[in-house]
Amino acid sequence: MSNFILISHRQRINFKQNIFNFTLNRLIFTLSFLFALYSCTKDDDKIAFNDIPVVESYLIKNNPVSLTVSRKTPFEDNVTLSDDILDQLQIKISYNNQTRIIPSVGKGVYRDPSLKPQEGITYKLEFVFNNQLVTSSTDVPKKPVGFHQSVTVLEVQSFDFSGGFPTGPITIPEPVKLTWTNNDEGYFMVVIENTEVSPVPIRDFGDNTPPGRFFRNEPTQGKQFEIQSMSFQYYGNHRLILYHMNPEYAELYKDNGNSSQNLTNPATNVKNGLGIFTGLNADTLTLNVIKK
Amino acid sequence: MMQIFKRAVFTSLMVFTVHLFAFPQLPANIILDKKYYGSLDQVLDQISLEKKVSFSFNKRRLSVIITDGNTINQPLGKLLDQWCAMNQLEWHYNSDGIISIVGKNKTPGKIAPKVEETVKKYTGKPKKFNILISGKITDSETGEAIPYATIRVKGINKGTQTNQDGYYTLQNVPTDTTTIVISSIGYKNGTLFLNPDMPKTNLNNAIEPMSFEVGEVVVSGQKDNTVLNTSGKISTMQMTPKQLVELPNIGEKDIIRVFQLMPGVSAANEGSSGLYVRGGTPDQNLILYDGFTVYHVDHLYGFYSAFNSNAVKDVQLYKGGFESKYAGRLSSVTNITGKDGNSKGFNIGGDISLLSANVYTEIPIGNKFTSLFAFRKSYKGPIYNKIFKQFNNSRQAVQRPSNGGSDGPGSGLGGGRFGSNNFTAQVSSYFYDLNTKLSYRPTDNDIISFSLFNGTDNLDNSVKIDMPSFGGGGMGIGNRSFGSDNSDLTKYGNLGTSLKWSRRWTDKFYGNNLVSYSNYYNNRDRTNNQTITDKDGNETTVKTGALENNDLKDFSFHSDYNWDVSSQNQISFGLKLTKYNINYSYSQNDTSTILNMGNKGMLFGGYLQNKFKLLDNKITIIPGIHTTYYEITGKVYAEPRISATYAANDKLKYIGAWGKYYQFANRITREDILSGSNDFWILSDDQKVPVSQAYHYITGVNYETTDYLFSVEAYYKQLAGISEYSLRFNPNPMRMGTRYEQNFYTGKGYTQGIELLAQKKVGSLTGWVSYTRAQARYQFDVYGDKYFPANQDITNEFKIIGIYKWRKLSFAATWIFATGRPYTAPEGGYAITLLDGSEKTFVAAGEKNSQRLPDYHRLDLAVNYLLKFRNDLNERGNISFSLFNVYNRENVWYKEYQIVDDQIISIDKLFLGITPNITLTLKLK
Repeated sequence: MSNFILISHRQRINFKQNIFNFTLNRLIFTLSFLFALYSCTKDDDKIAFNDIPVVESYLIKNNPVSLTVSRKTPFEDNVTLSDDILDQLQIKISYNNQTRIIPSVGKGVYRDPSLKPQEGITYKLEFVFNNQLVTSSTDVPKKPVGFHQSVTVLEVQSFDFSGGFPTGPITIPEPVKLTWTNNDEGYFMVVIENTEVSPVPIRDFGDNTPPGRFFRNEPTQGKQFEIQSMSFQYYGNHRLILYHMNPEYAELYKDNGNSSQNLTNPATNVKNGLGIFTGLNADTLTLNVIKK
Repeated sequence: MMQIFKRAVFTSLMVFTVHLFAFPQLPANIILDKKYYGSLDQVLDQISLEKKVSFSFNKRRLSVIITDGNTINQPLGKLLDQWCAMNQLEWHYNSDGIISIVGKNKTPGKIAPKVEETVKKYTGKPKKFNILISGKITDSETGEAIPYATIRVKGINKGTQTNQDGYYTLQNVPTDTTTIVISSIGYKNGTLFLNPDMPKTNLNNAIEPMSFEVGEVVVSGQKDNTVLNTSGKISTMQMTPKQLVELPNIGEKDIIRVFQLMPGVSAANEGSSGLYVRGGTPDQNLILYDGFTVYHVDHLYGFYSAFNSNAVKDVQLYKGGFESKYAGRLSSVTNITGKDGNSKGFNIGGDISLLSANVYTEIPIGNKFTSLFAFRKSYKGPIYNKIFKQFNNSRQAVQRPSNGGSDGPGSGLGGGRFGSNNFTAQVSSYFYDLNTKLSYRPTDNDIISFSLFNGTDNLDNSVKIDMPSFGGGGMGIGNRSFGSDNSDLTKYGNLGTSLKWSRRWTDKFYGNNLVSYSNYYNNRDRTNNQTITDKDGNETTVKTGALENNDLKDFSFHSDYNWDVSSQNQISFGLKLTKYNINYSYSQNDTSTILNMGNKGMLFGGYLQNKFKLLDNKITIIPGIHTTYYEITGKVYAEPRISATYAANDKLKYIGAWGKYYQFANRITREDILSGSNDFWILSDDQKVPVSQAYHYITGVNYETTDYLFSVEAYYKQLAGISEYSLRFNPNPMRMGTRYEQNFYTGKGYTQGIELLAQKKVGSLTGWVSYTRAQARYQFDVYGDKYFPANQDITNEFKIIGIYKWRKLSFAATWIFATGRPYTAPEGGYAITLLDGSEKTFVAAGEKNSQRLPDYHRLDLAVNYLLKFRNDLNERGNISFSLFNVYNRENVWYKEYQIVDDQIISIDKLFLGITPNITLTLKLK
């Protein structure tokens, strides 16, 4: 009996070996086939370029209508663009049942000094680009009401850190409080602009590029804004402009991502295009910043 | 004629029966009929294979003994006497049928701890037939119950598995003198010789853990020396943390990350320790720890999982087609069983590595109570800093308020001289986790256990600026001092706890009831506190910025029952009740709340499943159904499931599964991924977020021998109602009142693939090779009609893992190769001049996920040395050295786009480069 068992065991071993070899061969074959498949299906798609125009236009009450059309800078090289020439587009703006063609003044800019946007009127934009109809629509919001400033003069001490910390007392004045009426959660933004011809700096900028004359806050749906004295860079007269805007302008501040993980298209109110076509209204106050 | 025929039949039946139940011939009497050459260990291996005898010996010791080949026609016993006499050895025939060869004057008991099993082989006649046996299987060294161990009748295809608490019931055992074999990965096979005097119930047995040092004891014909095991079930992988120590790691032995080395689970994800199983995302994976659901498993930007491997006993990953008991997730289930604690004696141990330190202790009290406590904390060592910097770099660019150029209140600290650098105070970041388990066994049939887990990350990227009150006069004289506290603090984590009562009602009926509580929290504080003290000493604090808070509370009750109707039929059923309370809020400044979403809902479900075997146990079919009533939508959802396996012979197995799966709680990933972990959970409501569903279709073939495993599995998952979320608003905390817009997009998709695995399980060199070819495609109406590759889509993934053991050392290498993940590239850029004259640049996105990142590959190496002293029975610990990404491959994580001088520049952000780690593990037992 032991012989019997021994023989069958041996046979089983051989059989096992065969199965193993067979399966191994199969496996190698399948793997090589799959590898071949893998090398064949490598594709390197070029990113398709969508040739749509970028529109930039602010319809500010009583200011002549101005519009800039440009193209996106492509990411890839060797991209085919449409035949349209930026300065030869037929730009139409319609309002109150009339349509006006805005003349080109070169460099993609279109201006009509005789057309000044007014409150309460809806303006429609339309032109053809790359065989598509580019359209947009906006209106001029109401003028801000109740724009009020807490002080008209601000005394700011000059800071000079060139020699380390300044000695002697430093006073930081109260911030300038601006308020306005906003009962319907409209969008407002304050822009502060220095109007002097050669403004005197408040502090030494050292080797850094001097800051600009403007500064601003982000669009807000609130009704007040505080300008910290530290925000002022220069002495002199300043214009405090309170803009009343449409929601589409606030969208420009949205972040549309800047990495391959979260990239989506930026917000725009231009159909078949990008950019902004929006109406604005404003009220202005002045502020004088003087040296203490 | 009839007589002869009858006699022949009777004799052959006798022969057949005896052959079936033949006790192995006493080895002393086996005559060797050929010459065996070579060193003694080789000779014994050959004899073992050919004569079906099992030996146990020290391979190293015997490899230096050369035999003279004079073995023909000699009885084995005599040969053993000769060999032993010449070499200071002695041999014993153990009652479990194994011949052990040991050094002279040593009894076998000193080499291997005593195994509590029936030692005598019964040589009498069986008294009962077709019996039922039941009991518990435990670890012989620690007394821990062993879940999912296999109990089977030797030689026949009849067996069962222990349940999660280590209990088993084996029905239709042929006689009460049958031999039973007990096996589990990481343990030596145990043999149980039944005899009529033994009790049939409470037949508890202990099996011995496999020694790490392979050379010490080699038992020919022994199975499984590996880290991972497919356990022959459909799409299932099992892992015991014990074996983890051999694999390379980046500072932590990680029980979840090790699954990434298996086919079907994506390994090219350093930024997430969650599992991407078969094209699914980590939130589609249900993670259960001792019965409670874990909602967040990441530490340190997803680099590690929140589970301390010293507290874990067993992990099962069901990659798809999982049974009716588990519901609520679309893709996969990870079931983690925590250790109960050593019941035989006090134990303490710990690890220290370049990243963290951890300590655990096991305290039994009496023989009914066991406990386990484990704590782990990271410290700001080289690896923490390296990972923190690597994954945190990008955040710097987004968060810092711009200096100069005036960007709003408070940030204009003057252009020029002082920037924020001069006054920074660095605050520390860390993670910790804590595990506790208390078990009480009032009777042999009851277990009451309490489990607690807490894993938290505290990431601090804050900056403190203090402008001192300068000027000689201090504060009093017309001065205002100014302090700015820029916080960027993220605290997130999970607290889970469960209380379970398991009871073995009868031999055939087992049930457990569990109540659990799980709380996931994620708090992000990105605010700026400006304190202005005016001349009167009054302090005003203005708080601007963003506060984000996501809190999920899950109260659950589960009841699960198992009824072993017969050895061919098992019925499982149960009830589940879950109450969710989820809150997500996002507020800016002190006052304005932008987003406040709260969800409360209840899930009430039940399941019924039948497992039956046909055709002499060759076919196993498991149909089942899980039904859920979801309070928020008020609907009832039915999830029918069925799986089947066909074992053509003892090596070849065919499998198939089909099922429907729903998911009600979804994890939404916020898009500004750069800002750390900011996923939040939200309940489906069929308005903003639909209830998502999936159909699984799985088929495969397994060919398994003692030494090798080959498996091919193909799957197809059809998905519907999947969500993508976008919340658009300016992330700069300085902005006030900016409008937000949130969008929930709904879409559908599918994933499909084929997985190949070849594994060598036994010997000094073990390991596996796996290849997966897969596709994951989504379609969202908002992006168009076309199907696009999902973010986690990886077309080809190849992994090769090898572990070589030699004496007390083991060397491991893993090489992973994956083709690149898809990404969205910009197709153009433009700029808009804003009202204040400044220019804002924009990047226009190209087709979604149409590009592929470069291929990902890396090599990891590890060396592990076992600390076991010469006259010591126990292993005292390990020292291991790992090297991650050995050839420092620059794998791209994502690309960042910037517009500079009218050109779009893309910058590659990379994953971790070469990182070494040393870990020292010490333990008492």
